[in-house]
Amino acid sequence: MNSAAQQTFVESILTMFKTNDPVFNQKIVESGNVEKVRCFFQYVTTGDFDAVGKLLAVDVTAEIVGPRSFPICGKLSGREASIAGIRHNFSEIENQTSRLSGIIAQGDEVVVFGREQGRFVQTSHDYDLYFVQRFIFRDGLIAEFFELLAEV
Amino acid sequence: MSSPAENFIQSIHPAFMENDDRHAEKLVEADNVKRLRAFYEAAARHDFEKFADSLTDDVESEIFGPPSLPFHRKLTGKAEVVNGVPKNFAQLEDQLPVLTAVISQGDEVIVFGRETGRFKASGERYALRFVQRYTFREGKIARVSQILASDENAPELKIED
Repeated sequence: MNSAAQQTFVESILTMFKTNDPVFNQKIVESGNVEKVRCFFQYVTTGDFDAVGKLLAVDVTAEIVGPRSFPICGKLSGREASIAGIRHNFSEIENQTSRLSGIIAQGDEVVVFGREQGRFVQTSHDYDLYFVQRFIFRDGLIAEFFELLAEV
Repeated sequence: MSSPAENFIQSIHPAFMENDDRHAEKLVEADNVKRLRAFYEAAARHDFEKFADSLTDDVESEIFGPPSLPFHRKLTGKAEVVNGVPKNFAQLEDQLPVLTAVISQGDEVIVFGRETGRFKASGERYALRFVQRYTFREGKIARVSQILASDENAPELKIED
């Protein structure tokens, strides 16, 4: 993982949330959820998966849809399986550099747009993809996660 | 009975209200969602005058997804978008789009969905998941970007990546 680049990604989340929305400061629920998404990425970046687990509902569902050649696509249910899946996915890639291109939050949902470059560990093939992630919160925890990937 | 396109359009506003107890306070967002609905209605009716009127002169449209999809990927300016989008739709038949979510904040509206259908040229069926991101400026669509991927939950309909 490119730590400096990933830290920049994490730090840009709150700034991006405020872009294009002059009344972002009235959106208390959304601000709280965006902060949790920022924490999620912060913990993933630092490898603190116990902290990641505390952000997830017990019955969280996670689904990643993208090109079949990507070794990180699939569907998971439950907190433990999702944490194991996140660990597995991050073990499959290296030299990640992610750039944020949008954060859109409404009510219980936060959508993250970005682009990521890196390398698959097993094949040493470089990848370059656009991603969109949808986080749905319930009782302050991430209850659903969905990600769609497309190669650049 | 409503057509799949009508069902899709009718589900836009309910989807915007879902998962947001304070949706009634989101006036800017509600206006943009209403404009988006009008944009889809114009496209469904092939009313290209209204379709064009929904767009800024310098609108940009971009599609990211499997290389095998027979679409115009990047269109710049109202004339290119008005010509190119119908050409993309003309590649498809038996389209069955289903809306799964609408999320809006400020100038942006995000639409999540899935679609099955058939490529006219090859006759092959497809199943896609999609996310469309609309950015509004002064009440018109200034940018559309779309991310598409083959729907793994419909493996018999997988398309080439």
